[in-house]
Amino acid sequence: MRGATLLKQGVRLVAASCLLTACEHPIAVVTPHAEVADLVFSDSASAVVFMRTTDNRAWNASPLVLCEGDTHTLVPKPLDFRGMPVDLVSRRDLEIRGESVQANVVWEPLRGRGWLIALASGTTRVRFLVWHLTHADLVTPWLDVQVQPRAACTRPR
Amino acid sequence: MNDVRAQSLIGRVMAAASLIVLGACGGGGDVAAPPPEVQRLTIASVVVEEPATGTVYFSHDDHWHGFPTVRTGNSSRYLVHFVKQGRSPDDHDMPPRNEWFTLATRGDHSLPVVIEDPSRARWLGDRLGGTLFGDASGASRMSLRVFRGSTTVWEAPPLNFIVR
Repeated sequence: MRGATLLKQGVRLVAASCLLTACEHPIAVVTPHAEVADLVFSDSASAVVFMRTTDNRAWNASPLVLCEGDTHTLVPKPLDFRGMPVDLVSRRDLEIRGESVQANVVWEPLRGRGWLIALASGTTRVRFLVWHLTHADLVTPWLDVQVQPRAACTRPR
Repeated sequence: MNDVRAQSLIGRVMAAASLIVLGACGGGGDVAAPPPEVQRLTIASVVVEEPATGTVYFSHDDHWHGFPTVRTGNSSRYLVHFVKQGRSPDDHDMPPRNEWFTLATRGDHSLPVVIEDPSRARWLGDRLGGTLFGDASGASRMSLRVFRGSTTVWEAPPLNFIVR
């Protein structure tokens, strides 16, 4: 009888020590994917659409013509499958990444916006990704870009 | 007699449980961990500073904030710092200067820099920084890596730069 009591106490002690010293691995916090169908870039000053995809198959303006040395401040707006905007600012786990085949164009993301910078003249292709922590929720098609030499630019900066 | 048996059983159960707990929570398989005298270098981002102008360029995940510019036929000197603490995807602020560190005390580490288009520019440097020589106008990229011996410890995203 006393042995059984001792056994019970022992089991409780072991259980308690297991709980106290148990693994401290945190529970992973999973944030939902962004259900994105299209990506729209607007000029930050005028709010005019600078470039956008349609059904994520094509860009509205291809090739995109830029001027050497220009920096365009753009507001990226992902659209869901109903065409409704996905709020990027409230999602700290999402970012808009940019890739350029050549080094003459670079995308520099900022909070809620980004800079598309034409570093040097020449042609390249760029694409953008809605990046969710470790993977892309959306990858746009490649967009042809022509960067004109500063002297050849006719458009106002 | 029964008490002695029970106590013996309890002792065995506790010893086994302790072994299980210690084994299970050992930090996720540190079997291949380096010996304790080797301090692993943790790097989250790199900060490139141009002392002549005070301009700073820094990496953040896959991208950089800022890009160096060097004139054709000229050169610019850069110091390379590192930061241990990563930042959230939408935190694009420069890491505070008190978080920067260099490879000065890491004699077994090196900082090889590779220019994507070597006809555009050259890099001459050591583990503390280097000089970028502009040879032909245009844009290119450089990759910065941290080696310990011949092992890549960390690699920065490609840094775009301009030669004007």
